[in-house]
Amino acid sequence: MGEIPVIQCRNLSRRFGSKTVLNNVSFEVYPGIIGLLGPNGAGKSTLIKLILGLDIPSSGGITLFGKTKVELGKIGFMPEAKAIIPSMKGFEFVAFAGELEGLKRKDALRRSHEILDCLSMGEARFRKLGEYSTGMIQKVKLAQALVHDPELLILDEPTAGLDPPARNQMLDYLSYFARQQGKSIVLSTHLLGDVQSVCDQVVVLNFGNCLASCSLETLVGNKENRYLIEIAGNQIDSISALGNLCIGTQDMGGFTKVFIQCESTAEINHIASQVLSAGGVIKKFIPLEGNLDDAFFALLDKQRMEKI
Amino acid sequence: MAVTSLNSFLEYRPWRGLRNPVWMGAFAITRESLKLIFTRKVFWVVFSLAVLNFLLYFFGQYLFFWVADQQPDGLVRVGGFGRANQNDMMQFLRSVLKMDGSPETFRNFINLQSRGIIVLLVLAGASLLGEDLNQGSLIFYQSKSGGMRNYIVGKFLAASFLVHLFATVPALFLFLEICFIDTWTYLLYHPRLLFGIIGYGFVINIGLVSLLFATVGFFRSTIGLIMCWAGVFFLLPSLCAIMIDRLRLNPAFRVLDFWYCVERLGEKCLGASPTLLPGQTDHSLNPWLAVASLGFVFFISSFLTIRIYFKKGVES
Repeated sequence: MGEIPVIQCRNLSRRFGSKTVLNNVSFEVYPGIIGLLGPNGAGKSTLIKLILGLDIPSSGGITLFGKTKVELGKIGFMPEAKAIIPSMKGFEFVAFAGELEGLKRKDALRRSHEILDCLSMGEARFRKLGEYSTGMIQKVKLAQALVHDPELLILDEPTAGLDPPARNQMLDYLSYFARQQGKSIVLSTHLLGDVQSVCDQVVVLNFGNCLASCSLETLVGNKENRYLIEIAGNQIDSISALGNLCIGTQDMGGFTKVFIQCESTAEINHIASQVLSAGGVIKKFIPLEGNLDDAFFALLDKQRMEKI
Repeated sequence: MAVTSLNSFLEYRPWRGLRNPVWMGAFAITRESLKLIFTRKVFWVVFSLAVLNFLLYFFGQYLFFWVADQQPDGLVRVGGFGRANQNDMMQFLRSVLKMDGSPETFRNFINLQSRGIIVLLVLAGASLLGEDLNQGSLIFYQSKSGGMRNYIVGKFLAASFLVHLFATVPALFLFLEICFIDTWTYLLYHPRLLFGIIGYGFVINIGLVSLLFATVGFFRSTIGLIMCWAGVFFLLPSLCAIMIDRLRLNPAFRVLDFWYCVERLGEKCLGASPTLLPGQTDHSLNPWLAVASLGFVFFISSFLTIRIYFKKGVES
């Protein structure tokens, strides 16, 4: 990881009246592909707007590449909304975006064709945007974010509405721009599979709180001494008995999935006896496999349990 | 993991060229907005009518100066229409049509042209600004280096271009026509007229464009815009006429009639006298009240514009 964080948030809060959308969010992320995860209403879009400088935080601050002043020219933003001008042709729209970033008309047109070539847009670039399919619109939106060669790309749901081949292609583009062109990418999405496919780091938000900010490996990949126990019976006492060993839970209705991390395999018997003595019934006790879905839901459940 | 082969990509090249200042992005927005308007049929229909009106005034003035050059008190041949008395023709062109290069000529011409601008802005205004609100495109502009400032300036310039294309520029052509037909001393003796034309153009520009921004922000659709502008340009004048002419209320109530205030200011810019029917008393509004009315509309519209467009961009 590089020394200067791409994005650094310090105690970032955003309140709208009495409603707190972001609550003391602090994290720092480094060059690479950063997954911004969270359910609807978690505060992802608000965080993006704060990063872009479109909104002002109620408290706290953000630095981009170590600077507090946001330089929009260094950022390429692909919004979730359609945000196109239907009467414009694809290449005109991308060139127009370039001009808005200060490129000369001639340079912007040349650059537009280069980027659209790079994204395999072919002859479709000469058609009006109003006639484009969802996949093409997503590509053009990516192209307009790239046209001025930004250091940081912020992509809000870039794979939304895409069929599997188009989705894979979009993820390939993201990998290509990050790994081979050295761009940092913030990928805000609901699709955990997309994050697991391409991201190096993840920031998990829920109800305006930052639940995790670490490398993807740390969140899901370190399987050593991590176990999943499915507990029925007296679930609450059993989970309490596990104490700090419990790193997350997931309520499944009749039973609870409990994720634990222990020091060594020798502890397993001790853990099992603790659960049993607390009145729990162990349905399953298996080593945990690295899976972002489980880790994500475990984080959400852990937050819910803490609230209770 | 994604499966598409990376070999299918053409090589991406970083860009390291020189950049224009960020504010120049506003001109790109103006250009693209005008392209959008020029593709609308309504523009060409209104533009054609405006050109016809311009030609009417152009040849009307030409006829006036031509007749004035003929033998005094003689009969002049008017194309294939036969002969007419020179004095009668001059009287007709001067008093009825007011095509004699006087301040009233330019006032009437600009007033007529501005009707066309109103129709154009009502019918095409929604595509100029409303589409961006409906399509959620504001966030696109907002995330660029120039942000909403460039957007507002760019769109304002586009709408202003239309106003001047229809009103100020042709009026200046008419002024130059007189200079060519008569003598260039006309320019020296009527500097107020020249600056009055420009001033009236800017009064219309500020009034209509600021109103357009605010009303499109609210209504977004053409139908909503038609309803709102019909209220401003038809209902309010009728209401004021009833209040002042029928109910004999204070003429200062004309301050409620936004378009009357704009025309009154135009009249003052040009130094034209108000048009009165025989026996009608002059109920002209104090120009300062007209300024206050226009200023109020401009202030409220600007406030709403900033509030609606900036907020909407962040929300989308």
